[in-house]
Amino acid sequence: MDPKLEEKFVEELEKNQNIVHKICRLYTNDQDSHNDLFQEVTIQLWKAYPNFRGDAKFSTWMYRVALNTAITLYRKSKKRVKTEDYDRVMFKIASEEYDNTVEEQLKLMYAAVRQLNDIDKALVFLYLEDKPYSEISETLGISEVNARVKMNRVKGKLKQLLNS
Amino acid sequence: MDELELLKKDWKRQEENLPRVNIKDIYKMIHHKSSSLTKWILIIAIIEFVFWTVLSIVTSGKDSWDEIRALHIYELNIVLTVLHYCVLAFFIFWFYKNYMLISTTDSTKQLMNNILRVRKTVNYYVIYNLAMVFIIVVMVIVASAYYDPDFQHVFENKTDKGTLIAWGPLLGLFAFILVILLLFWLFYKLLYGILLRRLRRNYKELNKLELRN
Repeated sequence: MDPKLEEKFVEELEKNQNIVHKICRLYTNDQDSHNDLFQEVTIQLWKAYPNFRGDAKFSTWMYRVALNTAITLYRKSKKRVKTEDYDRVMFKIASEEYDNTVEEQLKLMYAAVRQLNDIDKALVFLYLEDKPYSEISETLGISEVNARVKMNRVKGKLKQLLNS
Repeated sequence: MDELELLKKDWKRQEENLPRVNIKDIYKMIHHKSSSLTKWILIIAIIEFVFWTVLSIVTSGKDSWDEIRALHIYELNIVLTVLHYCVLAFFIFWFYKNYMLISTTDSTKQLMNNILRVRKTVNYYVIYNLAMVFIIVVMVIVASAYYDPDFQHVFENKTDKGTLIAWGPLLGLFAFILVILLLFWLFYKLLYGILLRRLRRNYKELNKLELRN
């Protein structure tokens, strides 16, 4: 592989690595799995990089490849995924910044998001990333209308999960 | 949905707490293919082991054992076979150990050392196999020279002055040994050469990275 291409890729990934970390946090339960997924996504991105033609933004392309990798691996290891371990996904919420009710609400929300299926989770992830529906649909390979419909359904599912 | 908006706000805050992976680590990750190459070396060695074992079981009938007995190398053959399997088991264990080492390495320098170690192990393995082929061929030839009348007949040139060595067939025999060794060498070169070349490329890239940092 061309060393210049490699250098460019590494720089871009280093700059945009937050995207991968956030996906890893959503799709894994512990630090080891997080690191494993991060590495796997990196390898997949690197493999796919020669086909990245630069007509999309690097970050948009990265969302697509990283989410695909996470979803594929999530499907493979679905049986092993524990859904009880929500605390890590809560990240480090500084308790002084939130009152207890907000903290509790967030905890429940993260728990509910983690109970969603892989595709719904990807949808919520992009929504949380504040991506417009045009970009969500492009990343997930569905139509914009479909993305909106799905997102409304996910909201319904989340509501249900919170009330149950 | 208010909760989702709340989550969105929190999500943004979390950016500050995300871990960071440095450039060196990213380079290492994309060069971690050494681990899968080492895994392939292990798999191929096991397949090769099974292949030769099955082949020797299938081809060794009563006749071949009788021939070996006639050449008076039955005991030697048993000892060599046992020894050979022990050495092969040792090599497979060594390949496995290399694979485990490479999979768990987290420093570039160490990874480079391990790649060198893998290459060395594979080279030893190929040299050992070629030596074994050579020993077996020579053993059979020497035993035939002593105990096989047909063989003796071919290599002896009876003249009026007595019995002389027939150089033509003897040179042919040397050529035969060379061809056998060459074929085995090509076989191993093909089997492991590609993986070793990739490992070397990986090593070079890692070396560049190490120099840059």
